[in-house]
Order: sequence, then structure tokens, then C-alpha cells
Amino acid sequence: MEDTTRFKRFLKEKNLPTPWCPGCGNGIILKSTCDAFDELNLDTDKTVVVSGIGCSGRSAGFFNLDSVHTAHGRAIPMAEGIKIANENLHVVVLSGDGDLLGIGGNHLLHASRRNTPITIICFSNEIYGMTGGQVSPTSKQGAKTITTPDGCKDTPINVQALIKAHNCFYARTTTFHLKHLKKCIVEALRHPGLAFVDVICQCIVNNGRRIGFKDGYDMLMHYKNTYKINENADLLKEGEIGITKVGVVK
Amino acid sequence: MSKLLLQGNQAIVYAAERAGLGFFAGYPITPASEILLEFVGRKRVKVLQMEDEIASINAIIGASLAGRKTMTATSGPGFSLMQESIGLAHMMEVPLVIVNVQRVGPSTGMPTFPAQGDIMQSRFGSHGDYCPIVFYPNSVEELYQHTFSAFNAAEESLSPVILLSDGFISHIYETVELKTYPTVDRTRPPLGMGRRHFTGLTHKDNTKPVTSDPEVHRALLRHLKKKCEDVSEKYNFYEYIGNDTADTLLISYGALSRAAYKFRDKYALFRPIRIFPIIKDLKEIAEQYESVIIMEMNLGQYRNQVESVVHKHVELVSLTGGKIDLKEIWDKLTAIKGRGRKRVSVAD
Amino acid sequence: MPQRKGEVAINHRYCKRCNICPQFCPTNNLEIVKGKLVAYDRCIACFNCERYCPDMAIEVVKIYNVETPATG
Ligand SMILES: Cc1ncc(C[n+]2csc(CCOP(=O)(O)OP(=O)(O)O)c2C)c(N)n1
Ligand code: SF4
Ligand code: SF4
Ligand code: SF4
Ligand SMILES: [Mg+2]
Repeated sequence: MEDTTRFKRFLKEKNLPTPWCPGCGNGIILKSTCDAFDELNLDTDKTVVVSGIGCSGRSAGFFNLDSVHTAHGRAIPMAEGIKIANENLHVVVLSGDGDLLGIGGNHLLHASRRNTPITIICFSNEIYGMTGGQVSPTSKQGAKTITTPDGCKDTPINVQALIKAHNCFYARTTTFHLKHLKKCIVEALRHPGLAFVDVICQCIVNNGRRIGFKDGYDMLMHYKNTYKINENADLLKEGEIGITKVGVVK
Repeated sequence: MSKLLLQGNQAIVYAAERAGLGFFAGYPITPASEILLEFVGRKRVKVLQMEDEIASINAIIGASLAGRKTMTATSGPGFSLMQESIGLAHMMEVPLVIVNVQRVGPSTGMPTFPAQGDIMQSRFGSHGDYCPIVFYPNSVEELYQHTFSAFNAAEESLSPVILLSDGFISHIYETVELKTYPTVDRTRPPLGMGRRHFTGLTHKDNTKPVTSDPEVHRALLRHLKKKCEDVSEKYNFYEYIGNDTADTLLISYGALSRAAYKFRDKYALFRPIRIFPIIKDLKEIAEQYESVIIMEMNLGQYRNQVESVVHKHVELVSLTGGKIDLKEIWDKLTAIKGRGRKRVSVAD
Repeated sequence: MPQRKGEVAINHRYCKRCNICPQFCPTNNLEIVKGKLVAYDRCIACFNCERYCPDMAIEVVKIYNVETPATG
């Protein structure tokens, strides 16, 4: 029987269970990241994970590696400092959409411009989960949240355009498409410059349930029905997931 | 040993390099910009110009955890932006040096004029309780010397140490003997060697957050405070010029303390170089004089702190707006004498 | 015809009873009964539950074949 739990060597099992709500997608990303580490057989003594603040920000604490849990929005500059101080380390950022694209958005803009070789895994649940469900930079137009009861009027941030404008690696995937999720993280880790993996994931308690989803499974099924894999795109369209080609968008 | 004519800001760079600095990140701001500039092209130090001061301090926290001695330099506005992460560095016990070359505030104020308006910010700027070590030299030579002190104290206390300067002493040129002072090496293994979790959440032994046990938090606070206080005792730097004929002790620090020397015939002088934690000897020294006056380039930020240590009323001579004028100082000093021992502040 | 069978182990300390795995299970082998996840004996070792559990609370621990009587 094939050992499907080898990824656990990258986890501090004694710190489990995670503090996340039942059905939350964060755990799936945590697992898939470890799985990708395992596939590449990353050296635990040469890998560091960094998180910001948010539900997703708690992920760093579960890795059986040296890990850093920074202030809200500051995971990227912290990761850049680590990477530039010791180029032999794999530095992986795991954090939320609010953390990386809202309060920390300016850092992403500049880190991608610098093309610092770090891997960023963004938990895009389209909400500020930890603080109770306020609108986030990735919330879609019309999204009903506790701070936008009549629907969000703003355009969601086009993070793909931002990353691609600087010729960095951009992949989008979901917590339903597990093989694809793992592949995206593996390829991101292999990329020699800055890599950004946008993982669409379910916040059931402070988002999904309020907009009509029954449970985590229901949200996963929604991802299954909404997102189609396009493995050969320069730029992904709405409803598409995939690993975009690096260096083709000027 | 070579002697060089150096600008205050340059002296900090010369010393930092000799103290083992390996990584500098900063963002340009008057009157601190020369520090970033001086690092450009120096081979032993990795230098990053970041997008802002928040990025700068977080980059040096990361680089410090990764094993390098790190520093950033800024002025008041940038120092304000760093405050949240200064608290983080205390909580995660990360050694670093933050240089703050003070200019007139609040806000953009008078960017090219010196001030001492960040005394409270240095001590209490971040939220929550912590006990920072803060140095404030008053000459180029001393900036050089106490850049070593700042790096060493940071390593020993595993905490961010503040090196204050101001637009005056950072911009004057004086000769400096390029001595090498003893340096303290890093003992904590760099990132990548363990299974530790560094977090700003309340925690125990860098393993995992513990966020609902008040006792764990209290123990952590006690540890952080005691550690910084104990280490600070090794850096009891101050200058005291006693005066048998004087009944008043005049306290000053940084740029303004250079003017105080002019009044040494009339007053006993006290000048803290480590301004926080406050020098304990000050209490005993102050007891020998009938009255105590403090001169500051702010509205009395250090006075309140000093009063809480010497347990007596301290008169204030306040000079704001970046101007140091001996006649004005003398007028203000004599006005205090003239009004007897009532509690008055002579501010402009 | 040999038929693939499996067996799962549930870690009740990790399980948050989110009801994801029961809905992914093709054989209705899993169910939350009185606030507790239970497994029956219909597992075919498809690994869906293990893969989609966000909390690492369920694992396939055994795979074996059983001979089913030939029909027709
Ligand atoms: C400076 C600062 N501002 C606000 C907060 C409060 N806060 C904590 S988490 C969070 C939002 C997190 O959202 P996101 O990054 O999307 O993470 P999620 O919880 O959705 O995983 C906010 C606003 C904070 N901790 N620090
Ligand atoms: S609030 Fe949302 S994002 Fe946070 S743990 Fe719960 S389900 Fe997950
Ligand atoms: S392995 Fe497949 S069949 Fe067995 S319990 Fe899990 S989901 Fe059901
Ligand atoms: S998916 Fe995991 S946590 Fe959810 S009910 Fe199944 S075993 Fe429990
Ligand atoms: Mg979010």
C-alpha cells in the first residue's frame, strides 16, 4: 500500500488540530503544501515558512520547520529579508488575501518588481475571515459581506495582472482540484524567481454560509462546477485555473 | 589606528560595519538618508532600499532571524511607521538596531531641522508593554562608539535597540578615531536549523502560540522586561559633571547637551547617553542638589520620565522649532530661578 | 472477480465533523451519527475522504481484495 501520509513529516502533529472552523479550506492548503514539499523532498533544515495575520496566518505554526508568524501584512518583506540574508533557504509565504493583497499589497507590488525568489501561497477566500467576514480585496463585485450588505461595488484586485506585469510566476487553483493544487505549488517551488499561487478556498463560517452555501462540501462542489483547468494560458480568464506561462505578457 | 573626519551619519555606518553588520534595509528620509547612501557599494553588507519603512524593519527582522546582524535608519515619520513591528521584534526576541535621526515634527514638520521629539516614541511607541534599550550620543565620536554599544546590547538582550540621533549631530563633521570595540556574536542558531515558531502571539519557548493563559503572558512580559533591564546595566553610559558651588542640576542629552557645557560654572551637569532604561544613579545625583532642571528640544517628554525616577519636581526648559540659541537658553534658565521653586514650564 | 475493499481509521481528536468526507464517499460508508463520525464496512479505498479532509482526521489504513462469487 502506497504511503499517502508522507507529507506529515513536514507537520508538527502535536500542534494539531488546527484552530480552523469545521470545513474550512485552509487545512487542505496546509496539507497540499506539505505534500508538495514531500514531492520535491525539500530539506527541512533549508526550508522556512512565513505567515501574516489572519486565519490563514496561523498555518506557519503547523510546519515542522523553522517558521515565522509576522505582523498583519508583513510576511513578504520578512520573507525577502530571510531569503536575501541566506540564499540557500527555500522561503515560503502562506497567508490570506486580506493580508497579502490588502494591508500588505504594496509589499507584493515591490517584491514582484524585485523578483525576489520566494514562493507565495495566497489563501483567497474572498473575505476577511478572522475578523468576522468583512469585504476583502478579492471579493467579487456584488459580493454580500457584513461590510457590504448591498453587495461589493468595487472591482476585485487583479493580482494575476500585477504578478504577470513583472514577469513572475502566477498560478491559480482551488481547494477542490487537489492534484492541480499540488502541481501548482510544486511548480511554484521550482520557479527560480518570485512565484505566486492563488488558491481559491472556502471560508464557510464567515463567508460561504452567509451567501447560501450549506457547508464546506457545497463550496468545494461550487469550485468543481465553476473552474475549468486551462494549462496553456498566457492569461487566465474568469472561471479558469492553471499555471500561466512566464514571461509572455509585456 | 586611523583618524577620519566623518559626518555623524557616516560614523554610524563605519561603526556598524566594524560591529559585524551584515544586512541593512532602509528608505530615504532627511536627515538620515546619508546612512543608506554610505552603505551603497560596501561589499560586506547586503543593502536593500525598500518600498517603505514598514518593509525595511520587517526585512531586517527576517534577516536577523536568518543569522545576520541587521540595522535600519530613519527619522520620525519612518520611525512611526515601524512601531508595530518594533513590538513584534520585542515579542519574537530579535536583535536589531534602529537608528532614528530626529527632525522637527509632528508630521512633516521641519525636515531639515533637528529635534528631540521622539523620546516618548522610542520608549513607548509600540503597543503593549516592553522595555527598550535606547542610546542617544552627543558627538560624532560617540555615535561611532555607541553604534557598537547598540549592536552589542541588541545581541545580548535579543531585542531591538534604538540609537537616537538628531539632525544636528548626524550632520556635523568631527574627527573620529576608528577604534574597534569588542563585539558580541550571535548565539542563537539562524533560521533553517530548528523546528521553532517565532510569533508575535503570546507563546512559550518558541514552540506554539498560547493565547488564552494570562499566566503565560505575564511570565513572558516579566522575562522580556528583566532581560532588557539586566543587559542595560552593562551599558550604564552617562556623563556627570558635579559642581560644589551649584544648587541646581541641569539635565540634557543629545544635540542640546552640547550647549549645556557653556553653563558648567553655574550648574552641575548630567547627560544620559543610555536614555532608557533611565540611569539609576540619577536619583542619587539629583538628591545632592536643591533643584533639577531639564533642557529638551520638545515639550518635556523626558522630564516626566525623569521625575518618576528622581521623585522630585523637575523644571523644564523647552526649545522647539529646531533652534539652539545660547542667549535664549540663558534667559529661560534665569527665568526659572527668578520665579523661585514654583512648578513652571518655560516653553516657547 | 476480486473486489477492492478498504478500511479507514478516524482520529476523533482531529475530526471536526464538518461533513465533507461523508459527502465525498461513493459508497456512503461514512456518516455523522449523534455528533460523531462513524465508518461502516463498505469502504472501497478510493481515498476521497483522506484527500479532502481538511483536518487530517481520516486515513485509509487497509486495502484488500475479496473474491466475489461469479455470477451468470
Ligand atoms: C495592523 C492590523 N490591523 C488589523 C488587524 C486585524 N486583523 C486580523 S486578521 C485580519 C484580516 C485577515 O484577513 P485575511 O488575510 O484574508 O485572512 P483570513 O482570516 O481570511 O484567512 C485583520 C483585519 C491586525 N491584526 N493588525
Ligand atoms: S472564519 Fe473562515 S477562514 Fe477562518 S477558520 Fe473559519 S472558515 Fe476558515
Ligand atoms: S476511502 Fe473512499 S470508500 Fe472508503 S470511506 Fe473513504 S471515501 Fe468512502
Ligand atoms: S472531512 Fe475530516 S474533519 Fe470532516 S468529518 Fe470527515 S474526518 Fe471529520
Ligand atoms: Mg481571507
